Amino acid sequence: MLFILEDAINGILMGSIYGLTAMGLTIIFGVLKVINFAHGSLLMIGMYVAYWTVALTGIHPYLSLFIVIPAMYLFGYYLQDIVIKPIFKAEKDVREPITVIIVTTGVWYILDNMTLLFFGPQYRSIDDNPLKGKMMELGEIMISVPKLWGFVTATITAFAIYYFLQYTRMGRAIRATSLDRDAASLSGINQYKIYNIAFGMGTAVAGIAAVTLVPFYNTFPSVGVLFDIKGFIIVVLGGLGSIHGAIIGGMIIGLIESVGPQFMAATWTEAIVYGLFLLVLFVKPSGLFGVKYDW
Amino acid sequence: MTGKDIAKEAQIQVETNDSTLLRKKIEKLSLLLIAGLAFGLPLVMRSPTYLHIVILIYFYAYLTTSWNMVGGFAGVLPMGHAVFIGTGAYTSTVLSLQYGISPWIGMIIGGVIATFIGILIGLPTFKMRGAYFALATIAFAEGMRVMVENIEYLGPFQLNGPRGLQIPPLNTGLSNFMFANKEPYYYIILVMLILVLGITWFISRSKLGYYLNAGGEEPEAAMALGVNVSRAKLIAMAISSFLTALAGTFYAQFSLFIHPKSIISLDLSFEIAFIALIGGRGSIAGPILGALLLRPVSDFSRIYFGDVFPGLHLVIFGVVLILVMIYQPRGIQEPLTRIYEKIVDRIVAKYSRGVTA
Repeated sequence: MLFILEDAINGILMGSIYGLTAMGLTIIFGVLKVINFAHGSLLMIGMYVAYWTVALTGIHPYLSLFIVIPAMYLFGYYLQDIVIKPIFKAEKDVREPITVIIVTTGVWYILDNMTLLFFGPQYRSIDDNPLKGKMMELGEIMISVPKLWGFVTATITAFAIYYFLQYTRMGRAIRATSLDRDAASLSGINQYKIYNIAFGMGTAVAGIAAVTLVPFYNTFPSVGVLFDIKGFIIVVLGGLGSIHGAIIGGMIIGLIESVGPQFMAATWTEAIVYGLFLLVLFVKPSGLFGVKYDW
Repeated sequence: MTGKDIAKEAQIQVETNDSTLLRKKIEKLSLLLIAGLAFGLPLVMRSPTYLHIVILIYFYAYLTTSWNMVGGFAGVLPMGHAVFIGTGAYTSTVLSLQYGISPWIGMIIGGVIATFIGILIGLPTFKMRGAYFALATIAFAEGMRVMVENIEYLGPFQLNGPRGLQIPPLNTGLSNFMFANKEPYYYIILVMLILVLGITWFISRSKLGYYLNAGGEEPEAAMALGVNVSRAKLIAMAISSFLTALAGTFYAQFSLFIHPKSIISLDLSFEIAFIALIGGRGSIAGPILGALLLRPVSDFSRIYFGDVFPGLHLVIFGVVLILVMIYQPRGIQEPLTRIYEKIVDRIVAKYSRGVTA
């Protein structure tokens, strides 16, 4: 029984990191109403930035946040501004911006394969960082320290974003745009600037998730794909556009992945996750915490 | 109206009749020319490598045309069509390996199974918005891949999990759908492609085609006019999945080796969608033009740069995709059609002037 509890705790911790990767996706969807297929690639870029920062300077992995967050924010801001905005403007009157989805897919292919061209397919990990492979004993339960750090980071990030959206002027403008872009424009909000900022925020959050992953996870060009599809599943599970939905959805997935192998072959848990996803799509497409308005 | 006016009008009438006839004639001639070129190509092109590349172009054009029935005409974004390819390939291969049933029969059985799967996916998802539909199809396809990778035996059927199935090239011949050289494969996929294009042409001019178009553009308005949009989409999905599965069997017999990572992969699903979108979704010529443009890029960059620049062709895919989406949202078929129209216009004008002068 105890090892199931141990798996459950570690699964929830890992799940909170999944949730963090999905949080950026949900921010971008909440405001732009676009599913960003390139999100996993943005996470991958964040991991490379964090990896090289730590590998070259030798600082504590979490200190790289000070470089990763602004770098990723700017990257996302200008990616939206230069690549995605023109299509957005052309497709203004369409209710379902399918072309934008496709363009993000193009961005995914470009980023992943450019990284492959530049850095090669090898797996990179930081072996001498202070968090790698560390375990904490809690009675008889072993808890992975880097995942615990990830959990704390995810929680802090979720609260910070919630606070930002709820209580700052900019946050209110973002929420207004997400509710009704035309009405927001009429009230003097520059909706395209808000889109840029939201995309930048989503990318920065992907960067934070990347920093929590780098201490114990391998960095390689296609690492994003693993988290991309998981991210989609999590945001649909938690409800597209819902911040706490993303974290809780992530924890559910993490729990299934870690406890499942006690009862069946590990590869089957993946099939269960997809099954759960389809079930949610069919039964309650708005997800656990989503607003019906959004789908 | 004076008699002079009537005479003038009659002359105009005759002239327009003439020019539309001429237009039709030109259209027929160019189609015949293309068909003749396509059928004669293997006589000129003796290199199996190039023939292989052309076969794959047709194969992808076929897949994309099938995809187009849902992705183009119905206005949704299916991103998991590899499931149907896998269904077709696995059904016919398992049946022929274990029970000795000819792949031609297995092809049809696989198509029927794929139709059921297509309806199963379509029933709940066609009520959803575009993005959700894309996500649902991706999740379904990935889920199926994971399942197949985990299953060694599905009841009495041996699937071999991640190792896939190998078809021993023993009994070549038409009834076994297996040939020692590439030419028969070339003609089979060419005929399949022509058939699927014919079906698409027929659908686009039928009631179903108009329903799909209306439902894709303005679902609410179409529904208000009494069009059962989800039913039309479901029919399109059924046809599309059936036809896609047939290509799966072709691929299995052509490459003689199938495994989940190659034929139920996300990459394959995405490549089909990419070709359709770059070529021009919702048009008949789009998938062919897309395949003609993108497949050679992919094959040649893999052949010549594969070792030095892995993934280069995917970067090119991405860049082309984004550029086309920004500057030609309806795909490359639009400017090409315009050029074609212009040439035809010029020929018609020249010919008419010659007659009247």
